[in-house]
Amino acid sequence: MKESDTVKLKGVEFLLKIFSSKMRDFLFFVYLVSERSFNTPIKEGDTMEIPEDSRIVELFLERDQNAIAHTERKYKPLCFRIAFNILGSREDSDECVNDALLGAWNSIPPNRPQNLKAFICKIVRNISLTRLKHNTRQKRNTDLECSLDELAEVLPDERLSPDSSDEDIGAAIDAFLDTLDKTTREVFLRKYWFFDKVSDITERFGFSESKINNILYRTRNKLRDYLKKEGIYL
Amino acid sequence: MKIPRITDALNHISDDKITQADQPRKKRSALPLVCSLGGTCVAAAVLGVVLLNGKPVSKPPVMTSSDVPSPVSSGITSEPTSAPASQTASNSEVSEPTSEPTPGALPNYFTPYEGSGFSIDRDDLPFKYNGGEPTKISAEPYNSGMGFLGYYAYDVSELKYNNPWSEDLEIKELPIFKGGRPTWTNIELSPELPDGYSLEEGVDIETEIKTVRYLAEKYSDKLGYTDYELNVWHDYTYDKEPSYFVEVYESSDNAFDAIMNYNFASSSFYYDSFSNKLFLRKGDGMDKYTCTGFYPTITADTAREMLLAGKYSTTVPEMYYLKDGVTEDKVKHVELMYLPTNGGMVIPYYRFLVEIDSNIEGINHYGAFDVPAISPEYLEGMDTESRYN
Repeated sequence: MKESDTVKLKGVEFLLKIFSSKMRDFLFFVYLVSERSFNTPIKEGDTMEIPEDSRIVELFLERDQNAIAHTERKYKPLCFRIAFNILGSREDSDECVNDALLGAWNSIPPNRPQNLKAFICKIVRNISLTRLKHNTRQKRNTDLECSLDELAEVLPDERLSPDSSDEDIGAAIDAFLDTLDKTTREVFLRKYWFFDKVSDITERFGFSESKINNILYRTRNKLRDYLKKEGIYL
Repeated sequence: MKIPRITDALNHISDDKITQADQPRKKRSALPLVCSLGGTCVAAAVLGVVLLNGKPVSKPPVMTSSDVPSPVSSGITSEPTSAPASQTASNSEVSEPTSEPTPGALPNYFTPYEGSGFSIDRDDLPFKYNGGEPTKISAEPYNSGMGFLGYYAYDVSELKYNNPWSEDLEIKELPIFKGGRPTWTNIELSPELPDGYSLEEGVDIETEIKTVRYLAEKYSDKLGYTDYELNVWHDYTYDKEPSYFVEVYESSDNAFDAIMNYNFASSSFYYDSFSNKLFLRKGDGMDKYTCTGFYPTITADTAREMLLAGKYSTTVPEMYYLKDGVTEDKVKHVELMYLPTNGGMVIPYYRFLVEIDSNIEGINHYGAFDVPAISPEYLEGMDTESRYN
């Protein structure tokens, strides 16, 4: 056997190992979901108290299946809302939330999030956006398209600042958000992070739609100016 | 669909900003009917002192008033002494809590409603009515599909709202409406307030109530009310932080008018820190509602029997929070409120607060269970033999 063949075999062996490990995790997750769906509450004597996030993270680290159940009970409505705002489909959103739970199960450990809520929200937002990108038969979601068009005005694509990573740009946006007052920052994030409809933001903040639109317009302009100043919009 | 790059970059902002943006808002002045009324689901608990025809109500309208600990309940007992006479003349004179709060509990700011009873004058209605007769309607409540209606409180008596309805009112019929939802008009006011008054984010509840009363008096011409009632809605967030919202509605000697005002025409004041402007957010009233008929009603007692028989609607996921079903001992409160249906109508329901399993240690959790207040013979599209949630 040639040396190159040995290397290839080792590579295949390695991939199989990874695959079987992931597959094991996946199958275990399917088992958890099915048990949760058909046998809730999970077991006799199970209390309905949901522990603090730090405890839930510990349960993830201990590979305790209750971590999934607690996370779902605590954050499923929020995750579903984010997914639904992006995808506009109940079925797709449900799948994304389940994928996000699987994602949390697979990534904790090695991750140990200090903020479980934000962690799970980021996962579901990412998954939903990824699905949106690849879902060519997506029903038109006017509100979302409007949000994306508005964001494209600020920073459309990789032609701008090709050497900056998304993480770098995210850090710049984070610093920009620190310059805003609390209400403006939250309005901006409700629209462009959570993808809430303007009507929902109106209800949340008690402002008129024109006022919300005005806040968003001014903040987008400020952000674009800020990114230019930071050398990102080049 | 093309996703601009900044969308992905936004996922790298700090976790704290994301969670902060998802914190419950104290001011909820623009909530739609379903939400704003949802927040009112506990008003009957405070109506034990409602006086009818000048007489104190003999029993509190709360089903389990004996279960309600007393420290914050002076406003919900049948003790007439808990309603100082000064409160009847002017709401502005009532500014202090009527009792010491339970540790960890919210103070009681209830201002008792007083009226002479319930009567409908069809020649003088605050809404459009073309003489339609009752027909069968679907009473399935509108459900946004987002979460469920549950309220945290150390005691149900904390979930108080100044609903003019009480079980002791003799109500034979109520109007139902087609379409519409509450709308408001923003009226800009001078942002200057005396020292000690503020509506800024984070002010304590005493300051907020004091300021709303001050503004309601100062801008009574813009408000256009002959007199007003104050609503202070309380509950707690998931983190046990008190959450409250203050609004006003036009009071009336006739409970029917007061109920309509309470459900459809409340107003509030809010301060916009972004522009440093102060606004009166005035309810537009019932111009956009059309009454499709006056329907015979059932009593709260009958509705309670239906609730216990499982004929109710709820968004509470029972498998998680109510494993043993609705039992009498868990029903803590009832009030009448108007809610939108899936069929585009707005109809009266009895909303019961049922104690459900709390998922937070040390605080109680109350879920909303609704029973249509109109006679079942006019309802269709729901299985009245079983719950229809």
